[in-house]
Amino acid sequence: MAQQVDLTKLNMDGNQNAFKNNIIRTGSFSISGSSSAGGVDTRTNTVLLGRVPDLLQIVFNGPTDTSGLDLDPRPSDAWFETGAVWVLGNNAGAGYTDYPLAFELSAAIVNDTAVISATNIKQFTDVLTLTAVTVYYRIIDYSVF
Amino acid sequence: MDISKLNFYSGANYMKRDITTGTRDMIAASGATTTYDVPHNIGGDNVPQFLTSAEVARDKVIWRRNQFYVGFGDGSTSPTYPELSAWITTSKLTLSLYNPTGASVTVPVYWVIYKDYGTTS
Repeated sequence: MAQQVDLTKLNMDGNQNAFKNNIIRTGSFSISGSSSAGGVDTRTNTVLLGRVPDLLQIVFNGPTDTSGLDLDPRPSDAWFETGAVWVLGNNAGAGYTDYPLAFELSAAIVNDTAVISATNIKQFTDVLTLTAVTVYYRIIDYSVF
Repeated sequence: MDISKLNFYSGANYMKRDITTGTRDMIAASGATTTYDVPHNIGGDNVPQFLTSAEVARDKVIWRRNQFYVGFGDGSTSPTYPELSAWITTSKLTLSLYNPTGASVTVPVYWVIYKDYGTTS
């Protein structure tokens, strides 16, 4: 039996700006240890892409705010493009118990590498011991043509 | 025509918009948050890629997900624009509109959910 082909779908020349998904890369990294003494605290994770990408789209997953203060409406099992994962910090001597710290996620492309950053801005100098969390990422590597 | 581009079958990992792609006017009272769920039912353990945007200033200008507040810095002025957040699970996309302004707002919101056929590593 002959296979029917819709010839209108064959309009895939360079002027059409189409894109296709080459591969989805998934992985994770941990935010742990101690917080900074104040100011900007950035944790990074590099992902080798195997090629210099045309276009990336990245979504993240990790714990939402569990402090009870309702600082973030996102459920912990939901993936997001822009937002934060929340890490609880403790320093009993300074009066901090399960203090919520927001680590905002972002990413940059350096040649064939994606550099994922999780950044917290802390406005007090007491150092907190962090309860480790795992941050998950999904990177879609597109070719544009 | 460059016939090398005619590699348009599922093994080549093309993307297409799912039928759940759409738009909606979201209404939020002053100081309130309103949410809207879009079930995507794409299936399995898929976490689809998505895009969201909104006319946060209601002036026909579409901003990708958010717009920075006017008056950021000294705390003496109130935010002028509502803020759109979004997140997705294996079953639904959730849009969340927070309105910190002094009056109710109606914001046109747009979303695209992609059904893709990629290879995961």
